[in-house]
Amino acid sequence: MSIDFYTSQILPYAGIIVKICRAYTNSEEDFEDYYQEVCLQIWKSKNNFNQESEWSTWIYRLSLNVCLTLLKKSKTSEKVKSEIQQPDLIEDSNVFQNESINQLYAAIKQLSEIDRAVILLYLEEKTYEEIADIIGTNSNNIGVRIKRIKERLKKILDGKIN
Amino acid sequence: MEKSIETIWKTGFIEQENLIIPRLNNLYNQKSIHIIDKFKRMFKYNHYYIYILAVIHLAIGIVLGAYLAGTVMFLLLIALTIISRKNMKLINQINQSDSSYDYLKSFDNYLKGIISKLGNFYQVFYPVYFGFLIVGFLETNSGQVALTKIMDNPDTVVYSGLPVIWLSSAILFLIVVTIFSKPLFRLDLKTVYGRIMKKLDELLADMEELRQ
Repeated sequence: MSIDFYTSQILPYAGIIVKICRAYTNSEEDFEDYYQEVCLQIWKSKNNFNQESEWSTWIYRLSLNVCLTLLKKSKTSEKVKSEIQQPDLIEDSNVFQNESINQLYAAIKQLSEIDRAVILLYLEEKTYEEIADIIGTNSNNIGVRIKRIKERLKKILDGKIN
Repeated sequence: MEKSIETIWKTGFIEQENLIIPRLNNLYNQKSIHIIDKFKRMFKYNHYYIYILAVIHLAIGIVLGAYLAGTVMFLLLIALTIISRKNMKLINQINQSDSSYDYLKSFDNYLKGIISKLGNFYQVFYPVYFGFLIVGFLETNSGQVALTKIMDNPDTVVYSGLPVIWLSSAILFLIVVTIFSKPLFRLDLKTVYGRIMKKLDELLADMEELRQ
């Protein structure tokens, strides 16, 4: 990957990648691995970008796919590990300097993998159509799903953030 | 007043320091470690498999009365494991503190070296293995019955106590096996390690492209 490609095509969208990777990882080490893997996959798959969607939308989709794949892989290896030892339950929950964001992320991590993706895209102000397109679902039920997720988040965060 | 999650998100990420972008370094570090670990695991399981195979050969030899063939094939398979294990220990000589690319490249060179060495060994292994498979057949009751039957035929031409047609067929077969031992070894290798070796090649190709 050339430095030019990284600085011009990835770095302006690094914030998106960071936000997504943070939602699917519990440690700094995993986060850095996920971030690097997403960057690598963007570089490797750049020729598959067909300009039907925006570059940023494509980055969202790819980042989510990479994170979900890595999560699936790590779950499989955790399963093997847990047969011989207890999994490490220590979580990095204070990765952002803003405490409210930390609380919100902790709540988001309690959602299902797909719900995490949906709410992240919603918070990034993507339209229902864009969310449906990125997730690969029908846009009709996105609104209902978001409403349900927000209620769940509100319940988790109730009293924690003022 | 309680903030909405939208407000938390917006205000939280207005501060840029909340989005610390990690540095990209040693991109393929984890992948290199994973792929080499996988190779090591596969080598280990392959050794166990050959040990079991050796014992099975010995057991079948004893049960069928093919003592010589059973013992030789057992020893041959054990020799294969010993040579393979000895070569495997050389992995530890690869410097793990090298960069991912150098580490993987050293491993690739090591693998090519091993394949070349084992290829030479298999040039002996296959003919001996198949040769003693034939000997084993002759040692068994069925082999003896078949041999007696053909020997009873007055038209059978005999050399060194064996029918010439059998002897020449066996020699021809072993010559073919010797000639094709290296392709046979490569096929064997491809069946067991083909997928992971392809992954290693792809990884190295990616890393070489990255370095350009």
